[in-house]
Amino acid sequence: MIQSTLNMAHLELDELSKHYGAVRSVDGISLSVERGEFICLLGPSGCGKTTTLRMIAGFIEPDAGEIRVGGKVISSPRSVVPPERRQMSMIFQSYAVWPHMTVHQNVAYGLKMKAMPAAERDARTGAMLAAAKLGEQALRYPSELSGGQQQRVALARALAPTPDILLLDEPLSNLDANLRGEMRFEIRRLHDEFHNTSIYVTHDQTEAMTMADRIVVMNAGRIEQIGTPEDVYDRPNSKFVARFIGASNVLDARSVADRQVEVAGRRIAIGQGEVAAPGEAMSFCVKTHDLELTTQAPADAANTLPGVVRGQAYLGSHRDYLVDVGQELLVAMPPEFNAPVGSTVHVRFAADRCRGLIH
Amino acid sequence: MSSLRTRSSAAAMALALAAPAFAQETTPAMLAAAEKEGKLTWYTAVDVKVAEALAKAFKAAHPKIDVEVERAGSERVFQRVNQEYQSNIKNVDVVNSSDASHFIFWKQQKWLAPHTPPDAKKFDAKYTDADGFYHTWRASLSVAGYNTNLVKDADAPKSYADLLDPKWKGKMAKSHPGYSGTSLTGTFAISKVLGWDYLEKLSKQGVQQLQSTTATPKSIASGERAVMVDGNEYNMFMEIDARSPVKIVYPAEGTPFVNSPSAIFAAAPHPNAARVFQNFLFTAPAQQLLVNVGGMRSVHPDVTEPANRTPLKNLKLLPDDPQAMLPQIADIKKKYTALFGN
Amino acid sequence: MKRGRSIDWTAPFSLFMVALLAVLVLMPVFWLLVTSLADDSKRFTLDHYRHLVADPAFVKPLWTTLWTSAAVGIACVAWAAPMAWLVARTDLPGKRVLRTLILASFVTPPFLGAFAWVLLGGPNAGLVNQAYYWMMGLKPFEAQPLLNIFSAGGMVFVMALYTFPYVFTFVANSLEVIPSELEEASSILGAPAWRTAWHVTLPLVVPALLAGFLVAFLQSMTLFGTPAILALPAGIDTMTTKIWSLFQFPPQLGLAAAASLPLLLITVILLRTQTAIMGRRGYSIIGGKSTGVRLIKLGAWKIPAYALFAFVLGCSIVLPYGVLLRTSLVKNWSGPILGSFSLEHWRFVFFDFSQTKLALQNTFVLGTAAATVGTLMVVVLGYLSIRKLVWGHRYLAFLATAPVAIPGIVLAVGLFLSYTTPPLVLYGTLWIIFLAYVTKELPVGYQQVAASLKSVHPELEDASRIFGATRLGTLMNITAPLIRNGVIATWIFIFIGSIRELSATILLFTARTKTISVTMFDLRESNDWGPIAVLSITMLAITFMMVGAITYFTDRRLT
Repeated sequence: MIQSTLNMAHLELDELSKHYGAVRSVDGISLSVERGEFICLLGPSGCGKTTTLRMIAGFIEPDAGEIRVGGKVISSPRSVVPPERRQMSMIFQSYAVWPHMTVHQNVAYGLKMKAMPAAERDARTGAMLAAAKLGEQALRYPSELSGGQQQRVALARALAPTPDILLLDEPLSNLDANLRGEMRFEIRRLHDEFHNTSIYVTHDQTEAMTMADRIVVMNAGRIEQIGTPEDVYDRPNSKFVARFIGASNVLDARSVADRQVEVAGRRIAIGQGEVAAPGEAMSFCVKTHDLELTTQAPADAANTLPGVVRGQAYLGSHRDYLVDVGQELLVAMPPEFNAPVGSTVHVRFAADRCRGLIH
Repeated sequence: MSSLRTRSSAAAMALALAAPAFAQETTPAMLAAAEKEGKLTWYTAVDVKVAEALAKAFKAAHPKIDVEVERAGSERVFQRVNQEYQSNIKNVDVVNSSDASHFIFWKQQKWLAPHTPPDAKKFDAKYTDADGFYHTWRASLSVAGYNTNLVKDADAPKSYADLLDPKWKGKMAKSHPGYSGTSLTGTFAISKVLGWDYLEKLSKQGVQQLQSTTATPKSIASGERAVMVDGNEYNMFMEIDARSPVKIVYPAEGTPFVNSPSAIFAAAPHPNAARVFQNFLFTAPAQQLLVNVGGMRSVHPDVTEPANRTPLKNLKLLPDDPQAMLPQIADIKKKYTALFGN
Repeated sequence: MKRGRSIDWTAPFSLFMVALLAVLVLMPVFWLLVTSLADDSKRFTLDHYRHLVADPAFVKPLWTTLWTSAAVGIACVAWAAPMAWLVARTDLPGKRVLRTLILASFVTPPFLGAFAWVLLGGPNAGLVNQAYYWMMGLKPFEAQPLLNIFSAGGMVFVMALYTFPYVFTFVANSLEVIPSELEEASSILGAPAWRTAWHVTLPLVVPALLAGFLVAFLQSMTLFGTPAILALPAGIDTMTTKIWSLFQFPPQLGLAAAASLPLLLITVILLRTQTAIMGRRGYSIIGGKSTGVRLIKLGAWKIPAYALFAFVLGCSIVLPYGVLLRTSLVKNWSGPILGSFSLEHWRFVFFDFSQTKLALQNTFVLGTAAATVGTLMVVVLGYLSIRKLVWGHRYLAFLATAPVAIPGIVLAVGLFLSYTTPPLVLYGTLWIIFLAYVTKELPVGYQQVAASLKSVHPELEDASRIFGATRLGTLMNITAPLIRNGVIATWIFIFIGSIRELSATILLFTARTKTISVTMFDLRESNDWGPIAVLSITMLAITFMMVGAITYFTDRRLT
């Protein structure tokens, strides 16, 4: 089978499944990853993203389907190449920095396993430590380092052997908020420098949005949507994705004619997405900042719904309003707009920003 | 010398010839072989310090042969040997027990090797087995006694009957025939003279039970108990020599005589060393050491008794009767345990 | 794929481990059952059990065992609970020293304590009684002694002296995790300190008290040395001494096996009860470590508090160690207090006594072998079962911890029955004692290693795999160094446990396979207290060196 290596996917998951008793932890997922691509597996806990990652690493055998790297099968129910022969690296949620080794020994470990000559190994390790800004800590033990430094050790250790594929399992979840922001850019920077094919597991949509080339949203062992950050943010194609990515209201409605839906007796135009056949129930989503509140009833009642303010919160740059229109809506308004709790307001939907969802 | 003895000796000769031929006396060849074996294991019921003193004396004479002393009460020596032989373990070379019936049993099991040390030939016939399997290595008396700090001489018991006086309640120690061969022999002798109802009455006196007739003299010497019902005469001699406040009582009813033989096992792992050692044990110097250091009675004609000890011939003795005792041993132990506890 | 997967050895290996453990643990129990149900011609019979139930010579020891064990449990709770409270919850100064002394009584072999108390508490010559007679102007035999150690009560007292640390540890640990807030909540509502202690603190530690009581009960029930040394001279038998006496020639093995089963049964029941108590009601505890424990100020109550510690620790440590040391250094132990100093006993034990060398050698060979093999086994077992690497990991964990329910002497009866008849005759060799030690120490070792392994995050091993190390390589590079200290501690635990073992050894040794503990027991038969004291001091010295080594290694634990 002769194929252009340029077009060939680097890592492929093909109908991959893993069951634990009756629970379908991973349920027939397929995914094709380009060389040098940064992919985020995003989803709530228990969605199967970590199981998928550990199958890619070779720690878990699949029950069905295969994993291929460069066209070669590395995991299938019949045989699994053990982790140590996969030329991959991994960064763990717990960092998994070995406490009995110095920073230098940690980073050099993968090179030692590859039987790299000592001189070359030391040079490479030194370079990696410098890249990770750990040069001065080389002879320290992990217990003498801060959380962020330990994380950088894990990063340097993972990148040192120039792995084909880098796996990252929620690497930032144990860091505090400030460091997390810093490390997000650090990880992406190092990726841009070394161009590893990277699979990053997280439940944090901000992490996924800021780092990924493509995001794979997972739910209940299945893939809900694959797309660029813009795709999944602006163009969710299921209620689950719309809700999970955030800043979206998802409303239940009934489809009527002409790409319009009926909510609480009023009609709302659906500017994008899919619509159901007329008369059938469906949903649509709209971002909080694509809604507008007025205190006066607008002259044109089209695309508006009346509601009652149930709560509001001042957040500096804007004000969040919780409005009851029969369903609850979250609306972001400029801070100047001030409607007291209990007052009646009118919600205008930006027609082209309402996205119809049938899943 | 009766014709019976001659016939038995012939039988012993036949047995000895059937087995690998061992000389009776210590020949240079035997000694060389023994030195090659390098050591022997001696199971003995004699007091541990006396045993080690003999082992040391032997080692001085034969520096190339180590003696491993395995000291325990006679009944436990018996138990260990039997348990080991039942499991086909051959540890023991030379054995000594204060319960002569053990030797009858071992002889019946055909576990013993016939061997008569040159010195044993000088013994009175009643002190050597007719077939030469075992010989009286030492004898001791199972005496009574008291602590002179705690009991005035005038108040001291004179007989076994005196021990039933309520004033001794809770103040006496006695060894247990379940563990001690001397005690078994002595208790059997007492039961023959005074009957089991005497022992039953004694059991009501709250008598401390010790596991060895070497322990009872130590108990009254330390003042732990005031009076002992039975104990090794030799331990009493040792205590008296050490200026412990104790005195011996030879009970009016008679003092049990305890014959304590020595023998070699046929399957001894160190057969030559065993014979050299056995011969050594019966020599006049070793016997004299037993008497002087160990406070034993010896049946060796060349041994002299220290002046301060009552000579055997002046004492009324209750002789042992292993043949009669052998079938009753389990019964004696059971009856005794029922009365006195384990 | 670069290479086909090499053959997976984990399944057959695991099967082998399960089989090995089954032979080690289940075979003795199996033979125990079979022998107890067979007559001399190997036909089924219930005669042994009938005999057991009908003969007062067995019923009475069983009853003695039960009531004395319960009494030990109660005494332990009565001493240890207030001690634990004082150490955990009050401002009593010198806690470190007190804890160290409690640790010392924990590691003191109970039979050494019993030896020491013969010298202290013999009714007439015992030094405590001598002092009492002297102070009161009394004469031995004319007055009642202060205490008579040769009695059931004496035995209970001495057992409790070396068993109370179990209760102390249970209660102190449980008190340390009860947040002060729970007590403060009561105080703020107006309850005086003692009412708070009674209504709030006490109910919270009841499970620990009960668990401690049960452990103390079990410990006492299975002891052999203490009853043999203290109760037998008074004509009192317990089950363990009774089983031992059944081994006198000719051994009554069927009866011995039958007499062992009640002990086994009671142990299993009590352990299940204990698990149930500790498992229930989430006592382990309510919020975890709290913001810090508010210490109660004792004030003048310090004096009675110290009196309690002085009494218990004086009786379990100071007096016994003192009397053993003194006895080893004077000619006549019951003589005047400043008796004639002499190294005679030391010289005798180390130069004249021909058993010393062999016994020391056997003890060290057995201790080292049992500790090394035992540690290797529990490391492998722990790794397989904690990392759930094989299908049988549940059975492995069960079998490794099962021997905790088999009292030493019962195990010895089982081993004796298993290995005195062909195909495998191990009686008379060190092997059978070695098997006893390894089996007996498996649970302790397993718990220790399992705890160490659980503290090693699995991702540390995963990381090594993904960076190119094989499973074995990972075990060597990562897991082994990380659990090293735990493994060393395990080795030392097993070693200490083995060199002091008496209750199983007493049935399994022969002249060539004697240990120090059995040699001491033999010396006691003839009341040779000087040499016993010398060997006791030697054994204590070795034990404390080992405990020091544990402290050294665990204090340097890597983070």
